[in-house]
Amino acid sequence: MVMAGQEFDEFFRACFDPVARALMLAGAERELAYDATQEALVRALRRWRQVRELSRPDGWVYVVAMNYVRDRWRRQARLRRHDPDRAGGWASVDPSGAIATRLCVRDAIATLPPRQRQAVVLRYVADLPLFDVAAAMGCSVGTVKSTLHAALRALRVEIDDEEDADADG
Amino acid sequence: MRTDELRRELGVVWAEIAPFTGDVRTVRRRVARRRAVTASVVVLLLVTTVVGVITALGGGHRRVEVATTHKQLGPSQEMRHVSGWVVPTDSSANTFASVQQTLETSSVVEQYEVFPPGTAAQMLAITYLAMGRPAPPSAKTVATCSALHTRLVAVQLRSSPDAATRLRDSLANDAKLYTNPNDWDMEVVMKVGASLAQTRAIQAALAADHDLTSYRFVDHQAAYDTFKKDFADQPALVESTKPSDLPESFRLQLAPAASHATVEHRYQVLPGVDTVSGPPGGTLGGAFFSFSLAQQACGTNDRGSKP
Repeated sequence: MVMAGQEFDEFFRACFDPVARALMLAGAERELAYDATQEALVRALRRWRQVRELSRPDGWVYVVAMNYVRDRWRRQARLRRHDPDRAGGWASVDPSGAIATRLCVRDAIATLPPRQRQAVVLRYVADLPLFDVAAAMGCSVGTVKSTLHAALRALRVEIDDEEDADADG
Repeated sequence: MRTDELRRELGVVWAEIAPFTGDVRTVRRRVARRRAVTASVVVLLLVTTVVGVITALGGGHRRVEVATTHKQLGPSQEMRHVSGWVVPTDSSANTFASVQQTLETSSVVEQYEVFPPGTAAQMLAITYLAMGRPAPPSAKTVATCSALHTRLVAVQLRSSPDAATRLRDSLANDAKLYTNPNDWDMEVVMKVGASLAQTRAIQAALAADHDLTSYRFVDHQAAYDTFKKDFADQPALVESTKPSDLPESFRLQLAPAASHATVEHRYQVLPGVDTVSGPPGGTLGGAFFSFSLAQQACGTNDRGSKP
């Protein structure tokens, strides 16, 4: 038990900061990113024996935290429906394609639709394999590829990765 | 921009975000709390289930298994002939299971039918109303009759002279068996003004009826004698009544296999007949049961408590 305790402590220290920052990159506010990461780690500890056996335990935490954020957003969206001042916010999409003029990638990311943003963060920030990204987003690997493809196109990123090239086909 | 550049850019942006410091102790506390909640819910469910099972089995320690009930009538069936009523001595599930076990295994029980608690109280009230007794049982009397709150079982016994005695022995202290104290099962009551010819016709029909083992004629005078006995405490009523005011009747003893309903229907339609009734009064019993119950179970005669 002591060993397991230490093991989780180490995992917690290694995991908390990257996951929380990634959530912020995906558009979550700081407080929500913190809460989501903490909740995901609570759940991880509750089933630590299963989680530690995974090839990417941190991937599991990314997935759970991302889902938590998404649930929160949905709830907020419902509340916001009657409050036009707060409408838009993170979910705003920039259809004008003016991304190139932006210097900050973070802003560019923020203009992506939520699904695309999540896919980009899980794939390129958390560095999860496509399969795990698919599991996190509850869709097939093919859908992840096409989502990433669309995101990269919006970000004016050349599609050169072999895995992303698959999405063209 | 290429994907590796994107990765790099994202890394830069990522690094610009102020670092987070999580508190592992908070996480451990929350996990402990959730485990406690889960454990208490599980314990609660477990306790509820165990208590439920114990209650359902009636205490468990005196568990009596009645695997199949072959003799118990379903809700749609009707007992042809009620030989008596079995009243458990208390309302516990244990006692009832034991009674049911006895009924299932007893060689003298043909069929039985179970009535829910409260049936006895209803029957008692109906009987008092039907008999025109001056004072129905007081609420207090009914409430103190523990027997009224138990389930009731109507039984049909096999035709054997000592069937009732044998069933009483098998039931022992678990239940009382009330049987018909009269030597007749049904009564065909004539109209007060029925003609002699009508009465003779009924008598002829009864003599030829294979569903009866015997019948007895109660004339005006015999009815009047009974009436005098029943209302001895009301001399004014007895004074003002003549024997010819009381109907004549036939008291019938039914063959064991005969159906009360069939016999009742057969004579009800004949001219000159007022009512066909019997102590068991169909399936729901009648006077012999209610009165003996009121007197024996409560240890009192309700007429005694009349103001």
